[in-house]
Amino acid sequence: MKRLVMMLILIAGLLVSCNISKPVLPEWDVTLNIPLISRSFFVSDLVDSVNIITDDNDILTITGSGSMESPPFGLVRLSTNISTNNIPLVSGINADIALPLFDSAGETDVSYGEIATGVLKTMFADIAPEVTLIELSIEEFRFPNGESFSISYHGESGWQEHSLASLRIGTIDSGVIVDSLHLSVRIFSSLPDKVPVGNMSLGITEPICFRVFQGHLRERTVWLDEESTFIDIEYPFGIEDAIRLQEASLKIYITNELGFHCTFHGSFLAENSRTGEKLSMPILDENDNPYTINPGTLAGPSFTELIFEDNISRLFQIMPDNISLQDANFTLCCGTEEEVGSVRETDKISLRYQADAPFIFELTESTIAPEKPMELNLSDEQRDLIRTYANDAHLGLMIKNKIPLGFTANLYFGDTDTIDHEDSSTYLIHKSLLLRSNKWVEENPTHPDLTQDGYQLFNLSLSRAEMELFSNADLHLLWTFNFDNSGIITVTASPADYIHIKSMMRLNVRIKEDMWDDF
Amino acid sequence: MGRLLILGLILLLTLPLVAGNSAGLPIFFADSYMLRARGVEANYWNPALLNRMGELWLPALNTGISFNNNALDLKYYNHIMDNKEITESDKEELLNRMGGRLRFNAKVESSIVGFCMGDAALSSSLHLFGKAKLSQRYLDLLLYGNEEEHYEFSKKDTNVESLGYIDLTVGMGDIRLPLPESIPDIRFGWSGSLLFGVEELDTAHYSGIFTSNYDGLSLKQDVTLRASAGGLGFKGMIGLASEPIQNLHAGITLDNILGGIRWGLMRESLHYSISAENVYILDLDDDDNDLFEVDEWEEQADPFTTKLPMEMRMGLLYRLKLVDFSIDYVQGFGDSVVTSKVGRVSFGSEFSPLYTLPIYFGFSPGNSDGPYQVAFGLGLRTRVIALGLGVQSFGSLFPSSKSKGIATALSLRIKY
Repeated sequence: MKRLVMMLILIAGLLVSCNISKPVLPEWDVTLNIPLISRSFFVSDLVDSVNIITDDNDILTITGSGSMESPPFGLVRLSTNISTNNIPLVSGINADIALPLFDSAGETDVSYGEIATGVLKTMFADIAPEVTLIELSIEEFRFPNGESFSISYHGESGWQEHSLASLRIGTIDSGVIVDSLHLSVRIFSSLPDKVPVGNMSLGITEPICFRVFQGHLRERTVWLDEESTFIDIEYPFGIEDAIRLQEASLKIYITNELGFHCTFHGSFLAENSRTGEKLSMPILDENDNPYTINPGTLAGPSFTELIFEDNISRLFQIMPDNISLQDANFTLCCGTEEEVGSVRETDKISLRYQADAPFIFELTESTIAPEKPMELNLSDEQRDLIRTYANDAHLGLMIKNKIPLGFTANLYFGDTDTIDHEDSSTYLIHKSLLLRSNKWVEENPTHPDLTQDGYQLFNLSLSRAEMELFSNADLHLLWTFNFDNSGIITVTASPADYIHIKSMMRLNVRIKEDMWDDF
Repeated sequence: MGRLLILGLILLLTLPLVAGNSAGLPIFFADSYMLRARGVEANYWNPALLNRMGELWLPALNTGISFNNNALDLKYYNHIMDNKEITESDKEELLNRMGGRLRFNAKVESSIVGFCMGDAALSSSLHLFGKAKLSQRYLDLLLYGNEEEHYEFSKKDTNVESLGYIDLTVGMGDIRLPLPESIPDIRFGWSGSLLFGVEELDTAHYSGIFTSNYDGLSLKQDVTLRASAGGLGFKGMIGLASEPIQNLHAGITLDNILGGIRWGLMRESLHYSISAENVYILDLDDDDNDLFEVDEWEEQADPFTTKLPMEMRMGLLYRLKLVDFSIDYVQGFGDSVVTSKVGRVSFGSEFSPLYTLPIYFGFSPGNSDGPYQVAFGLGLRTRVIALGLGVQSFGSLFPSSKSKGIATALSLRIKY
């Protein structure tokens, strides 16, 4: 009986003596496969419709456009120096006098002009008291209503100034150069005929300026801005060191409001600020002559289109980051004596330009690399998470490359900003992947690195020791690209031109009690 | 002895805290009890054994509580908690223990009232049953992460169900079959139970898919839980018993005949759905909640019947002067919260060196539904009162930190 009781007590003891440990969340390691991204990067996404466009054949094209113009032409000056003194005046006789009109500089002949400024000076001297009125008219000067310009003497003494502003000279569109002024003097007096009644002096000694002008203008040059930057080029991904563009064109649309033929002078200057290279090309036609710009008329401007291809292509060979127009000017052609031109003070020459450089290029052996490594700023919390929970990481990539470019990408991680991809002592981790071009994929469809639907497979792994770097406060990354040298490449931007990236992150992390708070 | 009593009483006091389960005195024998049942108990175990015995059941004094699982035990729990780490071998061991899924079973049965007179008995008792399964794949995900691309979950491996009802049972037994004298007496009995459904919860639908690959993270989880209260049902039982050889008793019962509870008073279906398709981490930000579609709604469910699949039990009992031995085999004809299609054998023995102080033993080998069970019990018996206390251990010889479950029972019968 005692044994029985003892046995029951033992059983009960087993029951009541169970020790239950305090519950805590234990630690353990798990592997997390996290789909990171699935995204298509279309070449057409590069198109910003400003600097990068597509042409009619969907070829990606770097473009630059803008406009320039000359200052307003301003007033046309006729520097004449007409001065006639002591012309005798005789009663009963109307004097008709012709005075030559010419530009003292020999640059200007006027056939018609609307005068903005000009002064006629007259002086009547020794006039007999019987004279009641003297009228002087100049045939070539007319008011806007067509009446002849005339002045009257009413006994004033000394030099009198008469403004010529708003008067017209000559006949519009007549084409006849006004080379002399015809004066007509009528004397009213009580004296018998042929009695001298006094003297008349007159002069136009200051330039006559026209706001509207028809005639000849010799050796006149219209300047554009002293130096104008045509195109600022920002190459995508900094690929200018790795490619040589093969084609480029520049179209210039010139609007000429001046009624004169012009010749276009100047040069294009291309500069590569990274290499310091400069290349200049004069603006000449295929015969090495300046381009001639057609004249406008008073009714409207002329339009001229100039297309530059070979010259510009040569300029793009140095992969310029800007192209400027140097010493651009238009020289007015006087033309023949039978041909007169016209100009208004507000007339100007303007031009619009568009430079297109299609992405047709040859790849070079150069390595694309930024000048300095980028600093990766991980927060203290992120670094703590990596240090505490991450054991190792593995990045899987599936990339479908539908563009004709293949390249090798290299990633260099280090704890200083002095990473040099050619010096292994300057970085701690180096990862590399080779992305084949679309052409290579199509030629090697059964390659083991390819999936059936043409994705290229990549695996990048970071060990625990390598991940320690990511818990470092100073983390720097230098990336470089080397393109496959596969001849002339034409990059189109149709919907079929893209790179599709799928990525999976495989993380081995340690589950800990506090991690939920950390996350 | 006093400590045992105190322990038993403490366990009984915790009864209302434990979700559903099974029997009183039968627990002492690991359910090898079909030919041992007498008096009111025979109403539930084999009505053929109702014979000229007056017995009274009092509320809650015949109670059994059982809860167990197929994988976890206190020792393993302590091992993890003390080490504060789950090693690779720990993971492997845990998954091996689960055998495909983690199962939880709980059962409470408690008498309300019962008495028998002559060959008939009238009784009522409370029954609470609970089962839950969790697919091993969930633990795979938890312990190892999503190492595989595709995970699929179904109702077969992940579900929860519970059932509670009160029966009002009348039975009649000791009906001798008219057989030739050359054939040993075979007694027949029957019982019928009117079932008052208390609550029912079942997983009407469960499906889940989780994929994580280069095509993104996709998730679809649909769960429909059906809850109801206030039902009415019936189940019948017939039994045969015989003593073909002296001291050797044999019996067979068929339970849950026409068994079912019709739920009509309160019925609700709770639907929960979450889905996401081709999600990538870099697509997520604070404003992108619509990547995950979460939907939850309730609706009134149509009246339905919880069927109780029939269950057959066969048993042998051999009695000697001081000791007896029994073997039972139970086979359900359908899976439910109360039955299993996986057959189970159980062995029982009563050792009575003193009539007033019987000792009970039980053993049932494990099967795919659960670990093996070992039961011990002690009785205090007079001609009027029979008191018993017992305990059962799952997956361990003795109730200890290695047990994957435990059951305890109190039995008190008053004879008159």
